[in-house]
Amino acid sequence: MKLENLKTYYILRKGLFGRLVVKAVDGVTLEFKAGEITAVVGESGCGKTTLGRTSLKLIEPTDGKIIFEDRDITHYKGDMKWFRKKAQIIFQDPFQSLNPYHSIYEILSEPLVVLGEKDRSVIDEKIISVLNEVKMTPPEEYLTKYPHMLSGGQRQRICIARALLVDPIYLVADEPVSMIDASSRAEILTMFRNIQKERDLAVMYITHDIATTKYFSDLIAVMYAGKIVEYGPTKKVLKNPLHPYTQALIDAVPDPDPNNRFRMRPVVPGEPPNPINPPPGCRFHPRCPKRFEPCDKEEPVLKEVESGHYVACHLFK
Amino acid sequence: MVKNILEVRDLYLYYKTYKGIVQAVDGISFNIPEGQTLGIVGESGCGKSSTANTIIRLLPKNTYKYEGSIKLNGEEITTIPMDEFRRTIRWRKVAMVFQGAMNSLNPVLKVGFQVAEPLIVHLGMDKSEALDRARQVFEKIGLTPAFLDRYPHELSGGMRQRIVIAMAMIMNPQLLILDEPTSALDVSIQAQIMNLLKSLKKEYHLSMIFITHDIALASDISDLLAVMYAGEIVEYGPIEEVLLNPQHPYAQKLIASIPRLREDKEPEFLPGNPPGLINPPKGCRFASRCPYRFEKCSEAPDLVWINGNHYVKCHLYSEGK
Ligand SMILES: Nc1ncnc2c1ncn2[C@@H]1O[C@H](COP(=O)(O)OP(=O)(O)OP(=O)(O)O)[C@@H](O)[C@H]1O
Ligand SMILES: [Mg+2]
Repeated sequence: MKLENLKTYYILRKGLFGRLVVKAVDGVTLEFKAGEITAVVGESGCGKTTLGRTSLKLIEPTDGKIIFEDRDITHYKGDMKWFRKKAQIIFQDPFQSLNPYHSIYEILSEPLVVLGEKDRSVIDEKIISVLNEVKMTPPEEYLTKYPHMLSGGQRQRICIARALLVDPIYLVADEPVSMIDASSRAEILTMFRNIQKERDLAVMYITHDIATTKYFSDLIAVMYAGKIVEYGPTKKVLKNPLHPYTQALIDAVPDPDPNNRFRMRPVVPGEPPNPINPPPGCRFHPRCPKRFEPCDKEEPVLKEVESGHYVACHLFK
Repeated sequence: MVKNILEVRDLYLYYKTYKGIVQAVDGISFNIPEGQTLGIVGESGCGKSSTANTIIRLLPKNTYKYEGSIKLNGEEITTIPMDEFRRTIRWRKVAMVFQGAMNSLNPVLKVGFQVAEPLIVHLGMDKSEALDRARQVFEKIGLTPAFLDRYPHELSGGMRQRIVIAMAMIMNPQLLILDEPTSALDVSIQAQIMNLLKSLKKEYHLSMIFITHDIALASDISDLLAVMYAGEIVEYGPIEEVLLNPQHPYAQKLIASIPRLREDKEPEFLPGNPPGLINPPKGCRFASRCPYRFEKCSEAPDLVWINGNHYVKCHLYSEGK
């Protein structure tokens, strides 16, 4: 999956002074390769969910290109079945994304039926094998259950199973564990990581939790106000964050440590900008502790500073 | 020796539902020394909010059992008649920031008035004096006086959370209970609020109960930590001991499951789910998930004091194991 200078704008309403345009995604270029998890990290409203959904053509892009298996599908309007088989999504809320009136068997057979599978024995076989894959064993025990009979973690496993059923090659996982208790998160993510490696999947892992990216991603793209401000291998970005916003995100997350309480946490002041009216120049400049002369005028572009490590910041010429 | 602002002993809160009795708080005990913060951590539904509600005595209609001892500055407050409790304790000595409160501000009232209102209602202060006090509290929490005249919808999440903290602080309480005060906020705003709470704690020698499911966040402010599991506190003690050297198998697993940004430690995981609080197992409630379980675990464990102010509720540490 390749995204080239992708833009997704929402037109809010025609106000007194014309339209209000929310630039949710404003020129993002990213590539998702088989066998790699790319974490898209950012705070609420930065555009990460819109980015994920646009890549799946669940939202129409405003500009730019979506290229899937070397095929430009940006404006593709025909039969999407082939694409739906290859590109899937796991939603944030396992409580809302499963129909409460359907049994697990019904929930899991639906995508196969919709995509044209008619042979019941093929369907049953696939369901059993995917339930094994997400460690819902013995699978037969879960088939007749309904979503409310399962824990949050088990429901999310079902959501993952549903996405895997059609054997996709690209998956968007949008905050897949943020609604699950902390103690089960690591378990689900580890399982997901193993499946991803096993199946050689390309994954966009959308999260606000930078701590989990360390264990569950190969690459990180940090997003702020519709733009990627830093991109690179997870280890490099976490060890040596270059963009002041990435540094602030990392500083804001405490590790469990009894000494934390004796010190103030370094913070950036203010809040992310309103995407209707982002600041000129670098969108982070009003909050940036290191801003200097060009920052409020020129918009920095993403540049490769070290091999594979990109940053959009005037500090790096 | 610092004196305890709060001493809780064998506290129970059960709810009656059509499915049965929910044993939400099931005989918990802890102390909070003056000026210190107790972090209460545990998974969703383990009884954290219920614990907070017992202390400020906001009990729902379907309360089935409310028992135990809560001493505030040495004075038993569970037996104080309700109207007196309202007049002398709630908001004045013990105040609370409720889970999700920032989304339940009154949309049609200016936030300055909402913060000042308790002074007018409870203390009979006149409006301008009350607003003056609100202005002072706003200053303490990093809001300029201009914010007094704003409506909730004009404010960001971080600002609204500051307003809710101001509401709790307006009567100058000695004990502030914070129930998940930052969980709806983005990390960079969360860090700002944590810094604010730290400075309030220090400047006003405020005692606090900080409730969260996020242990790393609890460690950002807590002096003591209580780990709750299925309605019980399974381990309680100074944060250095509980966090760095947890004794209860559940506390050990929970702490090992936290992903760490700055250390090379793979998060471990804890398979299974906590039991329901209607008819929970008779013995240790963690037994079915516990790697160390043995015969005795089918009986309920007692508190075992490890030293000083640190206890654990586990048969591994009881005598004659
Ligand atoms: N009024 C009520 N009537 C019946 N059951 C209730 C009531 N309030 C809470 N409960 C139940 O009591 C148990 C403890 O709930 P509580 O809200 O105290 O947990 P919590 O630890 O604060 O959870 P969370 O982390 O999700 O906020 C849960 O099983 C909950 O469903
Ligand atoms: Mg709660």
